[in-house]
Amino acid sequence: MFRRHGSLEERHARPLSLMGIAVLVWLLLALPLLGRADDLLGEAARTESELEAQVHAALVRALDGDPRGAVRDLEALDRERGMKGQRPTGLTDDMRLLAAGVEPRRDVRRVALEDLLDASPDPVVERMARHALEEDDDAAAADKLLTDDRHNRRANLINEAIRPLGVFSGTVFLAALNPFLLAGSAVDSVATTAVNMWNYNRLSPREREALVRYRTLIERDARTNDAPEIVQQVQALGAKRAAALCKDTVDLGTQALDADDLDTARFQLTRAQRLPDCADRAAKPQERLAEMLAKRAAAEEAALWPADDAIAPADSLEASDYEALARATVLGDPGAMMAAAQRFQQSHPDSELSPGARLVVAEARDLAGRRPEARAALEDLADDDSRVGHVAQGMLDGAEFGQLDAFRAAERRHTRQVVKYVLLGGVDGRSALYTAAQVGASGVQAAQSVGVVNVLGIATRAWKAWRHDPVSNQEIIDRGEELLARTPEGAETREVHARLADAYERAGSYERALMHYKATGQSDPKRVAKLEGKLADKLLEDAKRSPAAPLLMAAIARDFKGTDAAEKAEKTLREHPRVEGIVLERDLLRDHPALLGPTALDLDPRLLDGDPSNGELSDKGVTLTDRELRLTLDAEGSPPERVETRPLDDAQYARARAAAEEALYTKLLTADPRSAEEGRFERFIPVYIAGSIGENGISVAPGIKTRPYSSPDKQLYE
Amino acid sequence: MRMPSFLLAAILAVGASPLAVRAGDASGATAPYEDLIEVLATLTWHLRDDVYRFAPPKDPTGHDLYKLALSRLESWEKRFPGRMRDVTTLGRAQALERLGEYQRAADAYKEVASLIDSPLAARAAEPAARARAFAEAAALPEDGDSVEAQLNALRRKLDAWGKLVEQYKDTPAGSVAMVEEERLERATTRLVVDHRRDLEHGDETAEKALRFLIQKHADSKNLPAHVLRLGDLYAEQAREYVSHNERPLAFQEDEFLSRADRALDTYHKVATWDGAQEKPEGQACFAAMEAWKNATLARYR
Repeated sequence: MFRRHGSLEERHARPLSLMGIAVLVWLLLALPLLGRADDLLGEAARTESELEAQVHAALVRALDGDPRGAVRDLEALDRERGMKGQRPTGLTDDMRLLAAGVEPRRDVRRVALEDLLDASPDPVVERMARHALEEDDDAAAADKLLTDDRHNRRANLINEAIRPLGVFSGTVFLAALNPFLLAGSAVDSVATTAVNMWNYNRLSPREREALVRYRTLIERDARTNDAPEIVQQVQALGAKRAAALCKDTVDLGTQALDADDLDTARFQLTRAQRLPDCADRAAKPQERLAEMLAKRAAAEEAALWPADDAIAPADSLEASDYEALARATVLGDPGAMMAAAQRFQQSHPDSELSPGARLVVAEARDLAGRRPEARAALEDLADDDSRVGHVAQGMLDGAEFGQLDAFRAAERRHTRQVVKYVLLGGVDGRSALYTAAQVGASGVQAAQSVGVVNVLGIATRAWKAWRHDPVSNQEIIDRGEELLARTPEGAETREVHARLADAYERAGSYERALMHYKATGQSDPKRVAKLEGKLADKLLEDAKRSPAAPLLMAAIARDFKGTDAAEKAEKTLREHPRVEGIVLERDLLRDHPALLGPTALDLDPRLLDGDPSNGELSDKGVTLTDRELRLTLDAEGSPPERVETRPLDDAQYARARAAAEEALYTKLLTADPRSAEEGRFERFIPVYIAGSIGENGISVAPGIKTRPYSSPDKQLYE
Repeated sequence: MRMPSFLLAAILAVGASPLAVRAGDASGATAPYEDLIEVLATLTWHLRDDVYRFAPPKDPTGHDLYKLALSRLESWEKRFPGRMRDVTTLGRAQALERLGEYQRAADAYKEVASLIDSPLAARAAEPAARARAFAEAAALPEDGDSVEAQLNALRRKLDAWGKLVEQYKDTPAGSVAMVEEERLERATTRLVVDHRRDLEHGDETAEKALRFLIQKHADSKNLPAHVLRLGDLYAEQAREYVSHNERPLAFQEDEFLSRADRALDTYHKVATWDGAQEKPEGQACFAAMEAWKNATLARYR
């Protein structure tokens, strides 16, 4: 805590300003004619020395285990100085903070911190005390979390009930013809409220965090008057969390069952059974799982054995041809297989074993490198209602023959989903409920209104879909890449590369899109330039967020010449050259005059006096780099700034750096915690009015402000 | 003969559950087969598959086709002992060879070769010799009393498989030999990685070994897995850095970041590898590493 204040001189920046003393000393030295200089200097030095000794004694007392005594010492010192007409030391509130911090009991600590805050301490101490009181204290933080959580639940319930009433879509205009249409909004509002009421008591991340913080407090220090209430809260939240965990686990198991993922279902449901009070809830899904597992096991077992009524050759001639066919097949020689299969088919066209021979024909063709004919044979066989016909269909759907079909099917599915999104919007349960509510409200008139109602929504969604593909392209990409990996030189390779280029472009993966587009062998330079432009734009966006932004931007400017992104990167590099070291802007230096002193940056105060005739620091201030201080000064003419560099020795650099880091830390600590976008009086107004143009039309609705969840650890509870 | 574990599990599950259905009730892809040709055709169709570059073939129900064919042929032999024995034995030998059971495959080929009356006897001789050679190489020891001894054993075994890779490089069996060579090189690399602290310049050697594996097997189906293992090594080195510099003033953020980001970069390759089976694992590794990195940085800031 005291390190922050550096020397005693610096700590007295306000009451006993070091700068004041420095200026005073300078004036005394510069103006000897004023007289009594030695007396004033001597007085200042003596006062400083006495003060340091008294503060040192108080600190020793505090560190010796008597911080309250140290506080009393400093209070006495302040009183003494007050009687002499001197300013207080300004260290008493720091000592009070120290004394409060070492109190072993929470309740006593809280009282001490509240007393300290009542005494209007300096901003740094106030910030530290408030942090200790509101955020370091787990119970206080948990109480606030729960209060905010309750507020947000109520606010969301009301806001969601009001919002549908403020949507002005095409329905409103039709209401002139049929006022009943307006009831749609009311039904929407009621339906939304019903859904929200159903989910009202769902465990929230804030409650999870509150539970952890209450538990932590009890483990750390149970000797608090709030312990009974805290224990009650822990029990209530713990039970709620256990119920939520049980429900989530059973839901995961049930979803896995629905998806026929029995291994995941078994894991989740077994886990659910072990959870406290969860066995009953997991019982039914467990029964379903057992049944499905038994069915799967039976099916797998069945697949291993020949059928009880396995087909046997009708006579010895057929048996002989069948054996020849089997031998040719097991040897895998396409010529012999084809010959044996054809012989069997010709000799025994009506045999029940004939589908097997047709399967061998398909295999022989494929092994001989005639895949299209093999596919034709399989397609023909797949129509056969025999067991071998099912096998042929399975092969057509499998990795060998089904890849191109699956690839095209994935593309078709993607197109259908995009169209569905544009026409109908999202298809989650909530949207379905809204639609049902609106249709229910407008009854048979729905048909006539749907067209008008959705024009705006369709246009909005079409715009969105054009800008960013709303549907995942991953299935197309996976299928296409797999196909190319298996048959990199196939007849359909060019087509697959082209389609993959489109899919990657839609997915925003421009590098891969470019690679596949070039691989088609028929690339149009305009399309290549367009993809390169998009790639450069994306890289530029990434670069802006990267700590290595200057390097990345230089690379974009070099490698994507001619694109908009390259121009933007060049401009950014020009306007914001890379800065190394610690930058102390002019405003910061003005706010922390101690930084100018000889124990810090050792700068002439006239550089900040606003008079350009004696030199003036520009807004960029100074930059402290390795053993060097760079001053950016205002200059007349062009350029309007000039840079002056001063070398620093090791000791000067160490002092300057320590002082600069201290000032920056203080700035950070005393910064206004509210968002920069938050208006001055905004926190006093609990409501807002929001307007938007969206998929459902134009919306204007008032609402109650919710409280943001800004815990630094919130990701641990979501 | 060993019973396949999934078969055993299936039998137990059926026996244990009162709701088990009769095998004959199964339909579609899992229905009992009516014709031996169906089993043979689906097996031999995939005997030329490049099992080094691509994952083993699956049947429509998602089961390993070689394993399924082997089980079905064994079931046929139990149900109809002696019926087309030469055909089923040769099919079994082929499936066993693809499954890496070279000695059992060699025995089955030999059995077919000994059936003088069968036209397949003469055709079984060549694969029998190949399976024997594979079985001999596979029987060479891989372990030893020390790391040095293990490395020497692996080197000898690799030499043996290297010769077979060369000998069968233009045949379907070549990919089987390459699978074995890759497996041994992976085992060697793992040994080096696991014992890198005992070796001189162990970290560098381990990294070189993994990079060699990645470069040499750039065409392998396991390439993404090899890249993940390199990521694991980098991640482990980042963790070691933290454990060796645990005190706040010893911890250098830049040093830590260079190690952690190297692991993240490597995981990211697999996390964005479209079509790779290991993609979800890569994404999970990336997410786990990133979470650990952020937690570590938060701890030291």
